[in-house]
Amino acid sequence: MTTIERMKTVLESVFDGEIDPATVKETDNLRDDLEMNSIAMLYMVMGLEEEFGIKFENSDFPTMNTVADVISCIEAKL
Amino acid sequence: MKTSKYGKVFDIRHFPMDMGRFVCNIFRLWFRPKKLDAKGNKYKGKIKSGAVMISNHIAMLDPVALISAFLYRRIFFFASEVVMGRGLSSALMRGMGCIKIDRNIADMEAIRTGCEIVKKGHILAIFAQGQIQRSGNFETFKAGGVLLAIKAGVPIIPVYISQKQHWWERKIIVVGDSFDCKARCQKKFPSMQDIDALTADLLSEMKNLKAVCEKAQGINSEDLGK
Repeated sequence: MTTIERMKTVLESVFDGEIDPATVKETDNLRDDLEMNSIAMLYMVMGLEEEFGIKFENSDFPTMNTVADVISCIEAKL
Repeated sequence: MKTSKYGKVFDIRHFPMDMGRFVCNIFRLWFRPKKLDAKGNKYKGKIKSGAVMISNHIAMLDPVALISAFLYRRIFFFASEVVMGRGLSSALMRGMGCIKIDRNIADMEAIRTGCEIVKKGHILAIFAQGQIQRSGNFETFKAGGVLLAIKAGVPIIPVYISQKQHWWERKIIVVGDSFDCKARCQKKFPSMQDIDALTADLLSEMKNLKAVCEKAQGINSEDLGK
């Protein structure tokens, strides 16, 4: 599975039907398009940490505005 | 050294924290904390394991009130950068069990530290309102505590701290029933919807505790608005 596919499985379990993973694109903005608040971002990040076996730092969050940014961050840590 | 089931009474690693608890013991003379349960009866329970204690934030000395009410346990707190200060002040606050949290961002590092603490069997107290709200109402109520409890797999202990109407009054602390998030949503991996629902349930429980507290103080909530 590619990174975006694995990320979509995390989004599916975290948002349980609120976000349709099939419609998520790399250009989607986390706050504007996916309507994530800070708690949702935190929970998504927790799920990504478990899925990929990585650790996010606080300094990663300002750089994560779109799905593509999150994928870049994940791949940089792998 | 005397040993209790909650850890050594005196532990050199927690020396500043234990000195802080000693000082809070003196504050018991001022607060004279009276612990009630969710039904308004005297609280006779003991918190025996790791837990997230979620409380309202009504005054600056709320952490001292909580420590003086639960002296048998070491309690850690999240504190904003403003409270933590810098340099020696920050080091002292950290030694006394404060964990710096940035309220403006999703502070992953603070959450991770909090999880480690509760998993070790300690209590982490979180003021879910995020700041002091002297009205006692819950204008804001953040879900971070629920998230942390789910992640760490520990129960939440909801607590309501009274606001003294007169200086001679005892500080009333209403301790709610243990709130097990995973048992309530019955899922291995709760979704955001579940977390929002759990937060709403917790808020409802906090409001019940507030009503119990006001009844114990002899306050009629309808009169408060007049």
